[in-house]
Amino acid sequence: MKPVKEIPLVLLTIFTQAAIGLSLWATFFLYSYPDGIYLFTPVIPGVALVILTVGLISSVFHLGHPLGGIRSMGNLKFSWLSKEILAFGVYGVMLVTDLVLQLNGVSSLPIQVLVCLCGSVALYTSSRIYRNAGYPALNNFIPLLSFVGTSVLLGLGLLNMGFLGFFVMSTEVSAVLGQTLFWTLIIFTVIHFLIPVYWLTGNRVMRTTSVNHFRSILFWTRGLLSIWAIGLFIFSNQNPTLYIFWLIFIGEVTGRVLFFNHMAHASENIGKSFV
Amino acid sequence: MKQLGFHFNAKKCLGCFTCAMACKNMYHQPTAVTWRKLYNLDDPIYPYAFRGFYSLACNHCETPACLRACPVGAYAKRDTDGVVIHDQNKCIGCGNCIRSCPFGAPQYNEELKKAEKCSFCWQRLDQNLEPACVLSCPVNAIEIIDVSTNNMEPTQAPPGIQFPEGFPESKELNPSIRFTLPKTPDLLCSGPFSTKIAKAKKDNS
Repeated sequence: MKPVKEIPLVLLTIFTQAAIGLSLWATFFLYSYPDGIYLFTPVIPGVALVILTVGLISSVFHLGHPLGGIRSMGNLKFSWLSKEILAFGVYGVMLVTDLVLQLNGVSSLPIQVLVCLCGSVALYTSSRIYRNAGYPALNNFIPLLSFVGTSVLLGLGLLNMGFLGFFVMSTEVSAVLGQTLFWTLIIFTVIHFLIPVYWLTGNRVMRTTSVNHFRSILFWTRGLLSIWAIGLFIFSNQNPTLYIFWLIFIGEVTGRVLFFNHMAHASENIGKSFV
Repeated sequence: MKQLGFHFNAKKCLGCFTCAMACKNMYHQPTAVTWRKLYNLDDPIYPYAFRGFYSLACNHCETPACLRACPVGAYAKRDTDGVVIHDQNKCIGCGNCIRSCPFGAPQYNEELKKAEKCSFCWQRLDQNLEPACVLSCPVNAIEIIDVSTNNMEPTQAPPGIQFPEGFPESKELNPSIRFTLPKTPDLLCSGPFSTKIAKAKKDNS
């Protein structure tokens, strides 16, 4: 097995998307079921902020010259990478604002909606970095779909954990959250297996990417972990909150390693027929 | 506005790698970094015993993917001639340009931990000298053209093709390169050789 590349980017995308997913789902459930959730409310922006920070710090190690990262917003006009850094900066500031307000006993719906919007914009800009002509298999909707899937699954998984008692749900809300996670897991597991099939219908580079995926143990590991998590939902008599979260987390990390390591680049096929 | 580019004549190219070696000799890149590469054309494109090649470096595109991808503005496109240059002093080695370019032009220098690519020998251009690859080619298979007017005379050669088979068709980038395709070789059982072969067989029998 060849060495795994781009580990800092794997951690960046996983942790930042987990933070965004947590913000989105927490806001949804808190306002959809206000009487069903008992929560020390600063926990949500606080945990999201910690996870976001871990992700952003990880990304610095991806740079050949990390100290130069300070200048990374130098091409906002064209570069999605510059826009991503700005977007995550704004999202982070909104999380800090929400956290400070919550710690002072103020729960502001407009602020929390802004947090969700900023997180969504950051997610979109992050996905646009990887949508480029260099990787034909990713020069479409797939990066956004992959990132949305990670965000949704990890956000739900984190809520399902309950944060060691800081986040307590009624039976009704727990059931709704569990069902949402169950069906989301099924949908994105199906998508995981369908995407390489979609690539088989494309040009040579896309077909090469598809074959790389089907031949990769990471691809099958990711799929099996998701199926295992689904099985726990169906067959377990207990509420398997912690196990499911770690299965989903390891599955998403595996999938993201696959994303960064098994995509065929267009330049690898120069001189060969692209049909 | 002038836009310099390369015209690569695959009909002339011998696959001798002199262009790639000249570039290496000029800039002394590390072993793993090759600014100009020779690509052997695969059988579906050129199915003959004689091999066909594409010699490719940076295509100095009209809308460069590298320039749009770089977060620190390390790439710039010269107004005078459209050459895309990379300022290594600004580069932070994020690799986004490397991911974004479908032609594989920017490459990662592990020693410097920065990206780098073909510079069109702009320092030589400014002194009215040819790039190292153009100067060194023994059969003049690489030449500089102005793709903004595509100044090849119709009587000299067929018009250059921008996206031949085996070259990524990224029209949105508009690469400044034109190709003359390799010629289909004469088959020995037809054409001017056939009568000589028939006569030789007759003389021997």
